[in-house]
Amino acid sequence: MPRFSNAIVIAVLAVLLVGCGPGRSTLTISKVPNYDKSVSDHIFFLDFRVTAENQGDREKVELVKAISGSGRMKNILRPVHYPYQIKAIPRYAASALEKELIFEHPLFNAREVSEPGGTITKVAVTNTEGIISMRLQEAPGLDRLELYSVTPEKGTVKIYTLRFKP
Amino acid sequence: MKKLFTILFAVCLSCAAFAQKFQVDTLYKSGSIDNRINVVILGDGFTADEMPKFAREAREFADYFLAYQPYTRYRNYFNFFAIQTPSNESGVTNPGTSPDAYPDQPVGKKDTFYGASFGSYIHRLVTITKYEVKDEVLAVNFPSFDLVVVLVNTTFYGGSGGSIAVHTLHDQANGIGVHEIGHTFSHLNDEYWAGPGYGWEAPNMTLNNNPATIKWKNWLNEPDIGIYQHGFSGEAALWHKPASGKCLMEYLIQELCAVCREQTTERILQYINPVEGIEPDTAGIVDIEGGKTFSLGLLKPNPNTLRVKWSLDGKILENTGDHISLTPAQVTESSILIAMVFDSTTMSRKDSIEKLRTRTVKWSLKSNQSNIFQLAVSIDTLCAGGESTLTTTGCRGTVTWSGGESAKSITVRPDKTTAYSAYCAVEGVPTLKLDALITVHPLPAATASNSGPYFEGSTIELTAGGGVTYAWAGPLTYSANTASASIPDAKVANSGIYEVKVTDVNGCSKTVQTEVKVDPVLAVGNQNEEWVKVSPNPAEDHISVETALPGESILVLYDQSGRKLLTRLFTLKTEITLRIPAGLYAYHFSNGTRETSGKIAIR
Repeated sequence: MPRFSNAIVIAVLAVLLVGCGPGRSTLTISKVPNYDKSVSDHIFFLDFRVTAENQGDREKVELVKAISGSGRMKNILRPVHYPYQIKAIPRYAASALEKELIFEHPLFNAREVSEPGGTITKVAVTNTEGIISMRLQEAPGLDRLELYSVTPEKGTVKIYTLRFKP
Repeated sequence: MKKLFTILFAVCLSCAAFAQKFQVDTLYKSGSIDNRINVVILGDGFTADEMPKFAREAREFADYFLAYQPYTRYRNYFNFFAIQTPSNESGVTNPGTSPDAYPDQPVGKKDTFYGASFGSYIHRLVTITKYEVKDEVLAVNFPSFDLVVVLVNTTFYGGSGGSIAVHTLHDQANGIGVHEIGHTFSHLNDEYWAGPGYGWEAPNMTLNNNPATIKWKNWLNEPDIGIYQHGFSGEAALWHKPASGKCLMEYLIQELCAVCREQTTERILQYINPVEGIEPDTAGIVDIEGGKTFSLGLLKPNPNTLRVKWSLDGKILENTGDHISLTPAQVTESSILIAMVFDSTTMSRKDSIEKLRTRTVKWSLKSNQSNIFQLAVSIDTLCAGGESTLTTTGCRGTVTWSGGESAKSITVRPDKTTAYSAYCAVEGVPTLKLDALITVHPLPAATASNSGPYFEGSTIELTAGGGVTYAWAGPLTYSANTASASIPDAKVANSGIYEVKVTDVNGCSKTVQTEVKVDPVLAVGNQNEEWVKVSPNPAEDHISVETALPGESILVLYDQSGRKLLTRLFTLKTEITLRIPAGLYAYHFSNGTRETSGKIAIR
């Protein structure tokens, strides 16, 4: 069974993004691994690493994984109400409904901790590094994906843009 | 540079090889992936040799999940799959650094597929660490998943929520997965108090405590459902929940409360269409030539709570099953058949939900009998006051009428002979016109009378006119069918209204009445009874009444219309002074059970 370290995964992405060009902000759709041109519906699986050296620093984001699956999804997303969030907004070249996707902030979130007796508590968890995993249905005119950090301290701040090329 | 490019190219090829297919076991598949909730179960820390164990554990979790309501009722709305991804090592990483680490659990790192680990600071917080691996497996093997549960191969208790549910094989850990799906799928909030900042409006959480308007007001009459504060001080006191210690969203050992079941049911029905098949296709116009059966392929919950209503051109049909047959005669040129499917489940008591959740299937129909613009008149000859319906068929455009109406059918009630025109307007072609004449006959000039008033014993004479046939009806179920009719030996009970339906040569009828009065005075004979004598007769200004009968006697005098003029009580004999016009009068004498009547003339 093939296994890879994170370093290799990043290297793969370096090759796949923009024809191995510099920068991590453009994704060439046709070169996304497992992208099957013979099917009409594609789902992008995107993993972003989010880091901040110190609490309060602006988050650094890098795409560490992009892979495609075939089909359509219902996109059943867990609602996030915690004040720290990552907001993802797909933008389209043509007019289209731009629907915000809200994810847990990987550096500031809350986890449920349960007991065998059935009781549950919630604990706040902070990290200096974390992963946002998301799925995105490919749609005509998909131009870019913008990520925003939402925190009580700084409000909504754009932290990353991933552009899509055919 | 060339060397670097070569290396990167090799990495690209390796990446393609990494898109690996794994065995996907179908645990339960009830239907198409597009119209089911697809739960994918992953396993971590199971070696290749332990794949049968993983398959067994995955099925056990599916069964555990489906034992909860409302999932039990809607189990065929779900598919369950398990993806076999063998780990190099069996078990799970245990850093052993948390203060609450289990003392009897071996500490150490394991090389597992998704890198699951107990927590470094909170031991029971078991998470996976290789998200990119998880995504790759899902993208290649089951990208259309809806919910993901990761089973971690250890019997030590632990788990976590988030975008995916992760838990171990501990007996009590399965509840973590169902609870987390309550968040992810049903958008439920926790019913335990998680602390300040964790309160927000959710189907099972609210600031509102008004029983009349609270979200779960329709469930307040259920056991265990109420309006419970999350706490008694601070922010917790502001928030309310529907159950106290009785819901899976508070305690993992509980079922979902009624309110959470309702929300879950609504979410299931939001995503899954119970109408899976439609026959014939709704595209185009269905020709009913020779008759046609329409059917729905329904995805039925258990018990089946789907309710089907059929309507044809807006009229509700009696059939409530999943199919219906129509004949050409039932269908016009442009009929519309609609099937409305609604899940009337008792799991939900949402207000006005039928309108929101009814699935509608619509067929456009035509009949080969109605391709030509035609006008049908239900009755073309009427009697005044009658009504007739004029109906057009075969118009592909708009139908209007000479009276200004715009409808395919009108109902009219003309009071005289009238001509009607129907116009069929179709864009691009000349307007078609059809005429219909409705002839109206006047009602007969019916009359009814009688020769009364009458005394008991006399003969009632009834007379009608104005028609050719007559139908009498009156008190004591009287009936006759002649213009003149008689009732001999009249009784008081014969009094009342007599109706006669008079029908003329055109068949038009009118009903008229006459009132018959019968007085209790016997019709008089000529002989006098020996035990009473009224004299003189004829009389002028007084009469003498004499009887041989002892005791009190009564004499009552009437005029010819039956109107009582006087009453005299007496014993044996009396003299009565009269101040009445000349004419013929009647008297009625009674003494105990004896009675008689007679006539007396006044000059």
